[in-house]
Amino acid sequence: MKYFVEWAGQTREVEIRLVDGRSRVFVDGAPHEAEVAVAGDDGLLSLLLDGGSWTIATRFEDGHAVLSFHDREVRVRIEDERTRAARLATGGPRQATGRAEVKSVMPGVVKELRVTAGQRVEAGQALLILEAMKMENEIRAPLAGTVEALHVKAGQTIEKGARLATVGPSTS
Amino acid sequence: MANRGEIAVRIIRAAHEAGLATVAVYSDADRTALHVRGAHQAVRLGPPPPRESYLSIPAVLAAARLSGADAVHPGYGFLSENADFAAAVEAAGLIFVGPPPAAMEAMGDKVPARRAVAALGVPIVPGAEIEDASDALALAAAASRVGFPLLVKASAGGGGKGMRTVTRLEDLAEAVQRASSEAVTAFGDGTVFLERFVTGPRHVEIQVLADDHGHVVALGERECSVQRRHQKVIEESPSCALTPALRRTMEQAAITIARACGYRSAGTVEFLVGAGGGFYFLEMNTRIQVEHPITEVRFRVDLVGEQLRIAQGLPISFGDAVPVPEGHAIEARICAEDADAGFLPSTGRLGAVQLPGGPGIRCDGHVVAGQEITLHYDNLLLKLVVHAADRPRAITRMKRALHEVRLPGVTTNLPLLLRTLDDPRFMAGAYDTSILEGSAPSAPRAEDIVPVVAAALALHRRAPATQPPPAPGSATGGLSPWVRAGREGWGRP
Repeated sequence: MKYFVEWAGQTREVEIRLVDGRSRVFVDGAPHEAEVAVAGDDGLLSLLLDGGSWTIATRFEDGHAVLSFHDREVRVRIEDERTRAARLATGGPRQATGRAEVKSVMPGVVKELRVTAGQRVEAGQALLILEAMKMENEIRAPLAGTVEALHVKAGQTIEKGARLATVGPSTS
Repeated sequence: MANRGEIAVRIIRAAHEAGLATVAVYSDADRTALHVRGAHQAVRLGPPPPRESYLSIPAVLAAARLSGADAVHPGYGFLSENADFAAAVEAAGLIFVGPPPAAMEAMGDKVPARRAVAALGVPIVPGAEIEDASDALALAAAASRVGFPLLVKASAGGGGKGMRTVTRLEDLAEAVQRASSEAVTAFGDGTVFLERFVTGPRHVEIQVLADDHGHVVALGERECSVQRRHQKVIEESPSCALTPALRRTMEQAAITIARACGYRSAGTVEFLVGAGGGFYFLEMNTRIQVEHPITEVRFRVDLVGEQLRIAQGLPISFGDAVPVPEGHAIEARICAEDADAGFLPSTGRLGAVQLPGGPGIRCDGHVVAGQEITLHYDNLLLKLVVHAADRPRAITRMKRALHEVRLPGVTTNLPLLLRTLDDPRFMAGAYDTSILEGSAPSAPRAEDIVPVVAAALALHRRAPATQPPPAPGSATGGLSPWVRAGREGWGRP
């Protein structure tokens, strides 16, 4: 699994992968010896990183990790690769052609529809909730306009690349 | 104990060592607090708001009656400097563990206290009383006598409330009005006065003890210049600002003031020490101070224990023979607040609390795992006190101990405390009350990947089932040849 963490003005990629049965961490592709263990409390983690030892109180809020070290508290924006892909595919910058087909970037189950056909939506507004790999992802409108069509129903299982919705130019 | 939090726990410790039984009082927010657990008896006062619990004189007196207590220790804050409360305690036939109400009254209001102290020949900061805050002409005349910059201060004030710094005449009327209205809200008395702003001020206070047997002694000083919003954060003893001669002079002044007001019990005389070495009386705190432990460890005395002895009519345990102080002591106040976001108080439920230990460490706190930190009360969680042979060793010991503290669940000022101990001005002992102004965390460095990895692993741990299997047949997966080459060391000298 890959994670994207904003730190010191950059987006860093952290990949956590099993190598020979051991969890290995790659930061922007560079390997590091890293391991965490719960230190007696759900939010308190002991991190061993490249031979260094840190105890960090952690909590998550609003897409950010809040990390309390003994001498500093930092708040970093973090998302996993699926969330990022979904965001870039649907909510990210895009040429405004006036009409957009919203497609699924991953297989999953439509958990809930948040809009109805014919409804006006703002750019970034949630169209539906897609459950994939036990995570719920908000699929957002790429541009402001009208929902011309919803191609899926709640509870429907979909494949990667399936058409979810069409958002067209505002009719009003 | 007519109090809560760490000071209630501190009083319980002294009382139990003296063989005295204790009664805790609590609000609904403190039902399972450490002071309730530690006392022999506990009586409910009321709902969480202080006005309906710890500040309610009838509720506290009723608790004393109900429990059969024969003495009331007020701690600090809440009712501790309320002379009416002390008088009500005595009228109820109970012992007030503190000074006589008359002494509290004499020192309680700053304007009359300044007058009384000046009459004793102790220097006070030049200032001016204000008869009528709405008289703009008189206000301007008073300000010109004092000179700018000046401080507007509430006569009944404390803890930075009802205080304003004014640098220009144009801002004076507004500052007086705001300080006065703040003072009405906080203390029920809007009287304010003007005081010259001493440049490079250091806040140094003298600990006194007095009993009913004629002993009035001073136990050195505490330097309390590390302040944010006029509230102390780090205190140390001795102060780098005092010479032995100045210390003797200030101790003598404190004893003179305590004798003159008929003082009894533990008290503190606060002074301002200017950049030129002049000292001025600020106020007398007629109670035990938050930072009393740094005096205790250096002088090997138990100030709360002495308060209990004196309240029973016994003499100070060492009489006039004040022990010779040893080494250097520092206290750091660990508070639930975000020092980097305007000192906003932080609330939450404490997780697995970890307190420091080892040589020279004393922890006076009330924190336990599972405790809810609310907005109802002071946000002081823990007083960390270190004692070492000298100042440099006390500083390194404090840093070492702060590194051991873990208070998960709330944001604390630990980063600010550690930053301050590393401040060159603090290390040199050459700091004043402005030391925390502009203190900011260092900028994130890209080469520091610890937060990046920690955030990813922490999030990954929350959803371990979603981890995809490694790419089959390849240990390096989809990495680019460049990254693989770099990892394997190709092309490196």
